[in-house]
Amino acid sequence: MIEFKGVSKNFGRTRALDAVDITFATGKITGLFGPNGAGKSTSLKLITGLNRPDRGEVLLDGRNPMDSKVDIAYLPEIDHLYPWMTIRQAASFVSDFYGDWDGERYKDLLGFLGLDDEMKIGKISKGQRAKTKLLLCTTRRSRYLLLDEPLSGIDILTREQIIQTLIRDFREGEQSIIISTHEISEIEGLVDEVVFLDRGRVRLQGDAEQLREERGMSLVEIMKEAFRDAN
Amino acid sequence: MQTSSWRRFSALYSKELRELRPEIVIVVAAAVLICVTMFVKSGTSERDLLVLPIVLLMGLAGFLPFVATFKLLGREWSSNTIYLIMSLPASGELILGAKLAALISQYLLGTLVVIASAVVWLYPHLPELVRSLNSMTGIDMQLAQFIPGIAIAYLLSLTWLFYLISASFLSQLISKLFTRFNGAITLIAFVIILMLGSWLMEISRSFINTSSSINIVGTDVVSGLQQAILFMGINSAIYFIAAGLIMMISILVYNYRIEL
Repeated sequence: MIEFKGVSKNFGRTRALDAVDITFATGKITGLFGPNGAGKSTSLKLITGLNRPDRGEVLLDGRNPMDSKVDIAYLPEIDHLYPWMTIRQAASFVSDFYGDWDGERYKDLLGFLGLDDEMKIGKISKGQRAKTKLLLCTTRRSRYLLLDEPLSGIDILTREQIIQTLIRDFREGEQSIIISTHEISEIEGLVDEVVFLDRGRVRLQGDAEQLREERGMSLVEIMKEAFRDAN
Repeated sequence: MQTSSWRRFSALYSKELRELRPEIVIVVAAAVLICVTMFVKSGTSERDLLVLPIVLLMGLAGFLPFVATFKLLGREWSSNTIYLIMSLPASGELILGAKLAALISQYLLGTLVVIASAVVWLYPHLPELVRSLNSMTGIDMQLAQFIPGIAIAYLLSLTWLFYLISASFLSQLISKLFTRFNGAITLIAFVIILMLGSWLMEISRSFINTSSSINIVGTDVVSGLQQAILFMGINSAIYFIAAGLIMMISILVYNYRIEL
């Protein structure tokens, strides 16, 4: 379980998160939704230990994020891999840090995603880079998988492959996935729980199916309504 | 489950060495070219002229690792690979330690290859060189007597490099605590760290009460040489301790202050 307890984070004069309390349940897929600047990426960076809260605390199964890095697979929105590496070199580099790296799954996923591991990362397309990042995260049997805008700027076919990969490899009840995105419609059917963030505050959170049934709307419409009310 | 510290360090070290490969290849290739030219031009006066490229290459081999410190650390931010590095289960000790080890390896490899080519160049001139040294000092010296001095001078250069690398790491990390003017902050921090370091080392030297004036003239050359070795040895130790302290501060800044 991941807990945010009264977490605030500022970047200069900009308040990215404002006394946020969130609980991400274990073994579920949570959608972290909101417009640009809502605090979604900051939330993921706080879980990964790339940022530290100014106030409050973030706990992963009661532990500090800095002590839990080995349990986290993180896919940032930006390209963070070494362009001079081939996919095989990047995989070898990452595998040296994690005991949960699954070599068989790597080969399987490589074929499923249509990648050749001799491809140089600096010379492949944006879609292939997105798939490579996903490959390096999902090859691991990590406890937490954090995806920051995994579909951003990606063509429709690649999006489909990414979503299929997530569905295929999700270990329900054992692994927790948090997907941060403002493209809700793409992953609406994938998420169990949702957290709507806006300007650093939680506008709405709960079980996705329950919210849809209660309000008789899709998650996109629920988000629009929640933000309209907040404004 | 985490892999062993050694495996993680090796992965980081190999990656850093790969980043430094172009500079290493340039120095080694130039040294090989000089050696080949020496053999081709052996017995001609043109061979003697090769001393200039050897001296220049030695300077380059010594200077490049220092320049590369800014490339190795700064590029992690400019290419966003810092997101990967900081999300890995690896502490500042491993990350900065691997960078330091790669830079020291680059220095060792570059300078030793150039020293080897210098020895090849010097070999035919050795008897003549020993004769002039003996006539200058007035005593009968053997070449072997200079070897400890040369070795300790090399050790001193190595600790200087360690000191400069640590200061460079710390100044770059300090600049990352600010959102703007990173380049200017790095430069200012680097100068301040060097000034503070020099000041602390001066205090240490005066505390140890080591004479900095060495008189290598006339028949006193043997004791002068011993004095020089002692002086360089003490300086190496002082630089090593100062560099170690700066490195420790850099690791603390990386572990507890750096954010993205």
